[in-house]
Amino acid sequence: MPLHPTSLYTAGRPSLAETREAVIRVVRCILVMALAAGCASKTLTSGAALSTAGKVASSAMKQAAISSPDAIQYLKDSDRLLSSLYGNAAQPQLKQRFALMDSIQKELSLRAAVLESLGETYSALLDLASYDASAAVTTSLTSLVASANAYLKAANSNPIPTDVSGSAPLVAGIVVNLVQQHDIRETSGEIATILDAVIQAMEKYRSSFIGFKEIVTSQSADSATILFGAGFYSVSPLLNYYGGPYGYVAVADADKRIALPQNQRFRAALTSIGAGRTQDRVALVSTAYDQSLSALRKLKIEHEALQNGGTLQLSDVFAAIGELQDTVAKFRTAFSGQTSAGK
Amino acid sequence: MSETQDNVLSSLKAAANAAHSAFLAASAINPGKAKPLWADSISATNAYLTALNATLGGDPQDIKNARDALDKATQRINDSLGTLKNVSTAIQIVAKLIELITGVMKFFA
Repeated sequence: MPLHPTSLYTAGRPSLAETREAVIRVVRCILVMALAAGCASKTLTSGAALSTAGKVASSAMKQAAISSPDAIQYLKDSDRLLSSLYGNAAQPQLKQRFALMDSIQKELSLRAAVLESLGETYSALLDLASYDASAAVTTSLTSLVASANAYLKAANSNPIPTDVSGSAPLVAGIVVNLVQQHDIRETSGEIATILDAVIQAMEKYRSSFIGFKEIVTSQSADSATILFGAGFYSVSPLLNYYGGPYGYVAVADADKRIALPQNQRFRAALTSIGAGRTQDRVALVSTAYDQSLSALRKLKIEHEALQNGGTLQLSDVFAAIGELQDTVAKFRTAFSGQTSAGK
Repeated sequence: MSETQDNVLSSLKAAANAAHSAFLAASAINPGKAKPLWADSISATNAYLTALNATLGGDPQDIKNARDALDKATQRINDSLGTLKNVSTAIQIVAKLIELITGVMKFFA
């Protein structure tokens, strides 16, 4: 015997007037919720945009704050070369230096790990804001209604009334959307509070991060500078750098010419270019760090705006992060033709 | 870090930079004179690194608290997303179940 479902209406089919009244009530309700959901879709878009910005900012800040393991290794290798050149009297001090560098790098990495955690939170928020919960629920409910009607037909029963079958998926989609936007707003407020703590911590450790990275950056160039001064590198790339815009090309025996006694001052002048560029690179360390802090502060403001349903100024955030990314990129390629070591 | 610690570190860093610059300048002009200056540069830098290392000692509680808060926030967000996905998944499962029942009913009708 086929199963008989419980009807929604206990006394047969409703009258035309009752049905019309029910439809009007449902449509009014849908209109109000649709207006709220319209605002909610901006919340999802803003949430996704903020999350993307936050992920980029936290990654760029970590690069700005910490020297890479390659950079530390490069400095140690440079020290070893110079130690061989300038006497082994400093060997115990060199051993102490390496131990201190390792310890400081470890401590700073521990602190910078908060930026990795921040990146993970933003990834999760991006997943939440990017998920189309409304469409998923609407589609699922539409399938359910179709399945239910197919069952009712097979059971020779009346189908689900159209005012219910048509509006239920739509309403459910709107409700789920409102729940999603509420979650995003609440999370945004939470992130704003945590960002405050992260900013305070990064401000507290600012001089430590910058101080160490500046030392690593400035002293890493020593071996290259000294080897260049001793004539082990060709001067042609630098000569071509100066002459290139005017169509000049370094002569084939440029390296022989620069070694002549009467041209010592030219070698010294070209050697000083490296020192100047190193100082430019050192200056980028604090610039990048402060730009990172600025980006985090702007993100915090936008999270608070999202939580309170205010207007977001995403262009400010994107501009700040763009500047930071530019500075980090400049630091990595401060020398034309620089290799990947020493970053 | 206190202002005093900050000032001490700044002074030590300035001394390290000065010693380093002196060594580099000497290495370009007179490598013989650069030898003792290399040792001086290493000593001065070590003094700065030692002081810096001392300020960083110990477990940074503020970092730990921030990371804990972030981990909890991440978990809550993942839970929210999980719930939203489960709603539509559950509805799909019910729809499939009804389809299955309908198919069986037709078979036995």
